[in-house]
Amino acid sequence: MCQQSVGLLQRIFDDHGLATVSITQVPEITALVKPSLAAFVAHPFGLTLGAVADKNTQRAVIRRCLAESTQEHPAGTILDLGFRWPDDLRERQLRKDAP
Amino acid sequence: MQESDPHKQYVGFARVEYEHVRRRFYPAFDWQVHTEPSPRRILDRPVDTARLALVGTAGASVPGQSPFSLGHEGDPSFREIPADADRIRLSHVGYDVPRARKDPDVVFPLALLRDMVAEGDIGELAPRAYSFMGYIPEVDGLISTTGPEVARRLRAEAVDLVLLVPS
Repeated sequence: MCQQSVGLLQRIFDDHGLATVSITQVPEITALVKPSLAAFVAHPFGLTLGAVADKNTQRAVIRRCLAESTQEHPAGTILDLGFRWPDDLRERQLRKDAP
Repeated sequence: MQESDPHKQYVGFARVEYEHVRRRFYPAFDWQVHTEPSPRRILDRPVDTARLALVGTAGASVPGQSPFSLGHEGDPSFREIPADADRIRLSHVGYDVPRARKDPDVVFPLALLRDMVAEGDIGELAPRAYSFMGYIPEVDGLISTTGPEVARRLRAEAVDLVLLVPS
């Protein structure tokens, strides 16, 4: 549900004239809310930026996300940044088989 | 904006979560479906000269602040997190919080953003980050009150770009 909350907040900030960019782990939920610009990373819930102590991946996600904020994209765009998770934790979470 | 029978269009995890929340926690829950995107404003300067604000939904707070409510009805309130905060507490019903407490940057990357400012990737951080707890099945308070209040604060703090991070 965090993805909806982020999307709704982003819509409010967009409507106030702020430049925004968000991360999403579930593009199908973000597509319902339609904020101005979101970046998809296929990471598990609770590990949005990457694994614990994996500063290289965490930095890379933020850098890629922020870089898109200066680029031309139509409102409502959801970009796939290409980050994937090495095991099945995210898939189990999406089936409600893991916290 | 809601469709007459919206659950029929939900796919993937949107459908799984819709059915899970209604069955286990909040029977009246439904997604907020919008037909049009919100307007986009492109960042009009390089990131390495911009003032960035972090807004997260991981349930972050600092010592001395009241915790978020973890009840079934959710909690649309927010906490101001000073940009130099070095003790981040996490409380949330929707993810493995003990794991994230080992490295709060995985869901609320305030310390990492400070490092990225020091390294020259980002111009500066806004004086405050803003924190929500993202389990909010009833969104009226978020949309009418707390979300707009944070937007006004971000504007007053001359923020160039808002980075929103879910958990």
